[in-house]
Amino acid sequence: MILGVLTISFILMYIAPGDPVLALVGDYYDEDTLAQLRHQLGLDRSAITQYGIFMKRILSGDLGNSFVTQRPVLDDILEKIPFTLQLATAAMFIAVVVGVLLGILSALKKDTIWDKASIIISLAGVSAPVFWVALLLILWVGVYLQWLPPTGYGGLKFLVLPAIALGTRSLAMMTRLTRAFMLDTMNEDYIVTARSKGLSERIVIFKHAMKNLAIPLITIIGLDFGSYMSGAVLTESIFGWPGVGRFALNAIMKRDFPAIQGSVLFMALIFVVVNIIVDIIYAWADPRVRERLVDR
Amino acid sequence: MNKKLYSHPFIITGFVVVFLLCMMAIFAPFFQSPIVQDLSSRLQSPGSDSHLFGTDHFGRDILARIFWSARISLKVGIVASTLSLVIGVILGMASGYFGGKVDTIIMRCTDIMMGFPALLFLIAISAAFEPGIDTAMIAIGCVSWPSIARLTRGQVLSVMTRDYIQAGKAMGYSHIRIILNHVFPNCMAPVIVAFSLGISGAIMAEASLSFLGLGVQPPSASWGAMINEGKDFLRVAPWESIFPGLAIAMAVLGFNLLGEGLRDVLDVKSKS
Repeated sequence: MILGVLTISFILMYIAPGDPVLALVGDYYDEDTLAQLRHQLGLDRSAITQYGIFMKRILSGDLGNSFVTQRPVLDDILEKIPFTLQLATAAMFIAVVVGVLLGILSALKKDTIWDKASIIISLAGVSAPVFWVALLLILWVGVYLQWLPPTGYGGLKFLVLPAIALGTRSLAMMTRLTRAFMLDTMNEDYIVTARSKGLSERIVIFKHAMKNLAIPLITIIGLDFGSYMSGAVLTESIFGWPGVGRFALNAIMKRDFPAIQGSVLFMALIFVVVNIIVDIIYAWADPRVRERLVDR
Repeated sequence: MNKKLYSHPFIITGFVVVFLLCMMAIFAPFFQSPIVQDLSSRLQSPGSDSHLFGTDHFGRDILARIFWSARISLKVGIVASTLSLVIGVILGMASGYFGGKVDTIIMRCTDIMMGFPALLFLIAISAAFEPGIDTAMIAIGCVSWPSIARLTRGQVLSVMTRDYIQAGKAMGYSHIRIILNHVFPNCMAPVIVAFSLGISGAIMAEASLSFLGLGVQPPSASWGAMINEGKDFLRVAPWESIFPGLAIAMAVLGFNLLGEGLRDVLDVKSKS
């Protein structure tokens, strides 16, 4: 899959109109300089040769130098990846914890004001654009209430607003999933048995029902991680968060090809790695999957 | 099913919202042009001086611009969603019907496309080619087909086991005839749902691109671009960003509710 992603990103950059060398030299240049730069970057060779060189370079771990910063793209990305992972993890944490709790509350208090409020939150969360939620958070929490810094990077307090903005959509999905799951599950035989044994409602929910919620929840997290990467492009740009999302957007705006290809590769790589981790957690969480793996 | 269709709360609410959206698009010409500037009445707050939603930093009426933008959002939503539907359904049908190598190749391409962060791909296409509404529509259509292809493939696989398909094959019908007359009509339900949900996704994607300056270009009005222009005046004129955002949320919610309601009524389960 990674090879496919690389090939598409190469084709896209190759067929794109405009000369990246012009973006590099600025306003003052002569034809000799352009030709020399083109040769230096390998842009004067055939498409197949360029593709071959590109793949060989990437597979040997060399992502090239950024046209803009002149630094190795790998160094730039490795420097920024922790920030994006930090943001995505915090967003996921907020989405899972708040989403699951809201979903449980909604299912247990079905048809009450709590249920309706949680349905409205989940519908609004899925429908509101991430960049708009981000601006509203900056305006109300950062500017009017002054509870948290509106933008920038620093300690934990700088992380809260971007993480909420990035996690809102996922939170809404988790709430819906948990509510639907709990409504189905609370009438199952094993829940009735647990209740008839005299267990407290808290133990019935968190020990018996929640164990089975883990599987669909993990699935959603795995599938949704791609949207965290997309959301990071917008969120990081709005909040001035120094992650790969903002780096990628800047690279695209400046037609910095090596940086674009590097960021796309890393985002796809994160998506693949997260899905491998999800598969491993599946085996850990679901005894049926575990047994099937052991049998093989 | 008809009774259920007309009484489902999601469908009714979704339909009302989508109807309002269409009315906004139709009646936009009755409002002031979205590009007419009036610098003497810039940054007027909502409700003041016959500007119900206030004015922006060029003195343009926000309500009028929101109405005009509905045209663009609906256009992008419908065209992009149709494009992704055509690509997705053709590839999904071919994949499920022919199986074997065709299936493997199409599904691998689908996996690759799904591995791409969608917005990043959209941004790259829009930045590489000339940004504008046409580029945005084509880019969104070309990026959104994989989920529809998977959905259609799943549906085709389940239809292929039915007796009437085997009967068609035994009668010597051509592949095209079997696909068009027997497979396609039986895959329609999830495709209708995917189309409705696809429109809301396309509206959101266009808004995101325009917010980044890669969609509809100024001075044309688009909800995403309006939020982008308004963000520099967030402290002094928050209404510049708040109202267009509400419009996006309303449009996306309307099509989502319609899609979810149809899914319920048509009893569609995700087969991807």
